[in-house]
Amino acid sequence: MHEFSLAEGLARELLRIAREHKASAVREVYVSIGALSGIVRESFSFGFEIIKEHEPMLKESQLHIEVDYPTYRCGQCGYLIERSSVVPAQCPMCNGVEFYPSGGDDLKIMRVELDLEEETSGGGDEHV
Amino acid sequence: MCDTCGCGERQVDVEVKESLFSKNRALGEENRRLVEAKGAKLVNLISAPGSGKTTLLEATITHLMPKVSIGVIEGDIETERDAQRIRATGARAVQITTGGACHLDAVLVHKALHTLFEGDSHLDLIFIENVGNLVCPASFYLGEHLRCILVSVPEGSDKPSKYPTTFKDADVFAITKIDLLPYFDFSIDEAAREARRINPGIQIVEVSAKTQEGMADWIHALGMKI
Ligand SMILES: Nc1nc2c(ncn2[C@@H]2O[C@H](COP(=O)(O)OP(=O)(O)OP(=O)(O)O)[C@@H](O)[C@H]2O)c(=O)[nH]1
Ligand SMILES: [Mg+2]
Ligand SMILES: [Zn+2]
Repeated sequence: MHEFSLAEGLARELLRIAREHKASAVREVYVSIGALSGIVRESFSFGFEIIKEHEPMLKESQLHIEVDYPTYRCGQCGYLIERSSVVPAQCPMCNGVEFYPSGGDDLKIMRVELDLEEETSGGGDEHV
Repeated sequence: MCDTCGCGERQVDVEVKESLFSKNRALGEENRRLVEAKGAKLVNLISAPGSGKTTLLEATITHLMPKVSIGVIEGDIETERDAQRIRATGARAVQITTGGACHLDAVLVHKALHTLFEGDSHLDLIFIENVGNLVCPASFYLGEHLRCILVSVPEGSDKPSKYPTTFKDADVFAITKIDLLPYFDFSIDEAAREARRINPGIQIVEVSAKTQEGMADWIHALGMKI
C-alpha cells in the first residue's frame, strides 16, 4: 500500500512550511485522516517515524492523528447520520438502506507548531 | 522567547488545513481539461488483479472500433503485456509500468495522455486500466469522467461491503465473468445492495467478455451505442 509515500508527502509539506516560516524545527504536527480514506493510520505514522529520523528539521516532531468520520445522508428520507465509524446498516428514521456519504475521505495537515530561531545578528531586517 | 531556557527560540502555531491529495486532484482536473479539449472522454477502470479488465477492454474495442476511436493507458507494476494485447485489437495503447507502485496517479496519467495524443491523433474514448488493486487506486483522481469498478464472479459478492472506500465514488459497477455464475455462490442481489448502500446512484451492469452476454449494457453504461 501507499502509506509510506503519503508520509513522504507529509514530510515534504512540513519542510516547505518550515522553510516558509524560517523555522528551526517542526514540533507538533496535527493531521486528520478520513475513516473512508483507505489509509491505515498505524502504517502512516510508522512511515513518518522512519522518514523523520533522516530529517534534522523533523527529528523532534510529534505526529498527532485525528480520525475524520463521514456523515451519511439517507437516500430515502434525507436523515443525517453524523460522524459514523461504520457504513450504516439502516436509517433509524425510515429503515432505508441507501446512503450518500460526505467527508471523511481525505488526508489533511491541520496545524503545525514550529520553533523559530530568533535572528541573532540584530541587523534590523527581522522577519515576522 | 523560549520559556524553558531563554535561548531565544520562539514558537509559532500555523493553521494549515491542506489536503495531501490536493496536488494530485489539481493535476487530475488538468487531465480532464486536456482530454475535453481534444473532444474525448476518460474512463478509469479499477479492479483487483485478474478481474478481467483487459479482456473486457478487448471486447469493448472490438464492438466499438472503427466507429469510435479508442486509446488505452495501461497501468501495471511490470511488463508491456496488456498494452500489447490492446494494440493487437488495433487501438492505440500506452503502457505505464509503475515499478512497484500500487496505483496510478494524475502525474503518470498526464504524461501518458501526451504520448497518446502524439501526432495529433483523434480519440473519442480513452480508457485507463489502473494497476490491479481494489483499494489504492480509489484514492487517486485521474481526471476521469467515468470511474468503473469491476468485480468478477469468482471474487465473491461481499466485495462492495468489504471495500466501501472503493465503491463510494464510482459511477459504474461491472460484475464480470457472469458466465461463471453457475459455478460460484455469487449473489448479484447482495453485491448490488451493498454497492448501493454507500453509493445509491451507482450503475450496475452484469457482463461476460467471454460469452458477450451483457456487452450492450456495458457499452450503454459507458455512454456509447453499439
Ligand atoms: N470465464 C471467463 N473468464 C474471463 C472473462 N474475462 C476474463 N477472463 C479470464 O480472466 C483472466 C484474467 O483476465 P484479464 O483480462 O487479464 O484480467 P485483468 O483484470 O486485466 O488482470 P490484471 O491486468 O493482471 O489485473 C484471464 O485468464 C481471462 O481469460 C470472462 O468474461 N469469463
Ligand atoms: Mg490487465
Ligand atoms: Zn431515512
